[in-house]
Amino acid sequence: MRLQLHIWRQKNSREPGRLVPYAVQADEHMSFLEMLDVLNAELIRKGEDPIAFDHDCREGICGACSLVIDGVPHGPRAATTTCQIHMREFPDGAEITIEPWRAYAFPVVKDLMVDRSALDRIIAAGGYVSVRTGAAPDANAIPIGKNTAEKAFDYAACIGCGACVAACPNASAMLFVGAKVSHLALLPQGQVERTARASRMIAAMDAESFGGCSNHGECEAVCPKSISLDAIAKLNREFMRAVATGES
Amino acid sequence: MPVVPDPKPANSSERPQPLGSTIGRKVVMALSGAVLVGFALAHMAGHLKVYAGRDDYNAYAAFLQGLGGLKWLVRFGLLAALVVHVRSGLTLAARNKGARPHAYAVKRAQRSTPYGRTMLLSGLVFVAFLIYHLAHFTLGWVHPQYFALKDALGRTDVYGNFVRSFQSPIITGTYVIATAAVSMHVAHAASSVLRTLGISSGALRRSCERVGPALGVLLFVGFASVPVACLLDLVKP
Repeated sequence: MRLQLHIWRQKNSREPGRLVPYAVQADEHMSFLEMLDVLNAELIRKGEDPIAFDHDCREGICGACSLVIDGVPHGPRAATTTCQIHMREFPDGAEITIEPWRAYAFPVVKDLMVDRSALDRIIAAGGYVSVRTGAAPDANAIPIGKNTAEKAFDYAACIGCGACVAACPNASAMLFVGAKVSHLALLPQGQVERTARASRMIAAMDAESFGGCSNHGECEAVCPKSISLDAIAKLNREFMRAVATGES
Repeated sequence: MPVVPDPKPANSSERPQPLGSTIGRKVVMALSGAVLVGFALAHMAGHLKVYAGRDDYNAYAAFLQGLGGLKWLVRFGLLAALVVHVRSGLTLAARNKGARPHAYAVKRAQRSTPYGRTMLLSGLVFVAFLIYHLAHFTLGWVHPQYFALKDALGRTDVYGNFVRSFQSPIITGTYVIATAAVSMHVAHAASSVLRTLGISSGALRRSCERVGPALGVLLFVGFASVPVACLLDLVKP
């Protein structure tokens, strides 16, 4: 299949970028990233600069891939990362625009690659449980109800890719922060630091200049792990809990 | 491209005040907005009394005017809620705009609604309308020709002012447009309030998401029907 691509090219975070047209011959069984690999191989053969894009596991679990394909983060298939999109999703002769995640907090490193360390800094502010390291505890030493365990796991499924920020009209990171805060707030291990965690992570999120949540639901629609907007409702509850207990 | 500033250390001494955080502002905006929607519903119910005729309507207006201190308490309360609501809204809108300095060349909305994406516009249209509306019915600055009318019992003939004003297609048109703006605003806002306050989740989510559109339709029909009825001569002066 023959494709007409419009790809965002940008040398670094300081220079302005632009959309550049490329034609590529691909196979419908290729993954989207393999199609870009083919284009890059051709660019390298011609002595041109290959297109920089993030990728790692290529099996939908690491959260590294990050393309806005035709205006949708992670492309046309719901609950699917970019690396799991295949070219059969597109008709022959399709014209596809590929852009990076766009947010003040995610500066472009090069082309389609952005710096998402703002999310790491939010995690470092409180998205963990402080435990003494040592021998691993017995697996079932702390009983957790099935429903609670499943809910916590649904939030824990967040791979931190940042598609929620990319999709949000306000570039808000509330779904990401909500998933992390909710996951630990539901588990007994997370109780000790529960309120301090919520306040610190919210303060860190604000310090990174992410926008606020306007409840549009764009984040939930593109999340490759289908994290529910309930995470945001819970984050709001955790915020009010922190204010009420004077620990904000 | 702008460079991300160094994040502030998230220790307690440098942490911003809770109400100054994005979520804090959202909560303040939600609570003040809920007060305003509560008033809008009461206001709508009140003005539907036009259908009950001149006597009922003027008696209701005289009753409200006779509340004295309570009337002023409510007026100042509503003004305070409005100021707080607009201020939080503008602050958040500026922050949200700054969070994405470079727009997408192509962006396809998946879930958001046109009325949800135009909250700032519908809110500002409503504030402009509110000034006109107060100048019309509360202060009598615009269209003053019907403002001083008295009814047979010597009461201010609010009914007569109301019905005669809305016989003008321009005045009715203005009110219908403003009503559409406020209804669109509430259609997104009411459900948004419920999530911001942490209520809209789990089993309650679907019901909470219907509250906004339902209230929006209710407000539009309730508010727009009366001026339109006056324009169509279904309600006589």
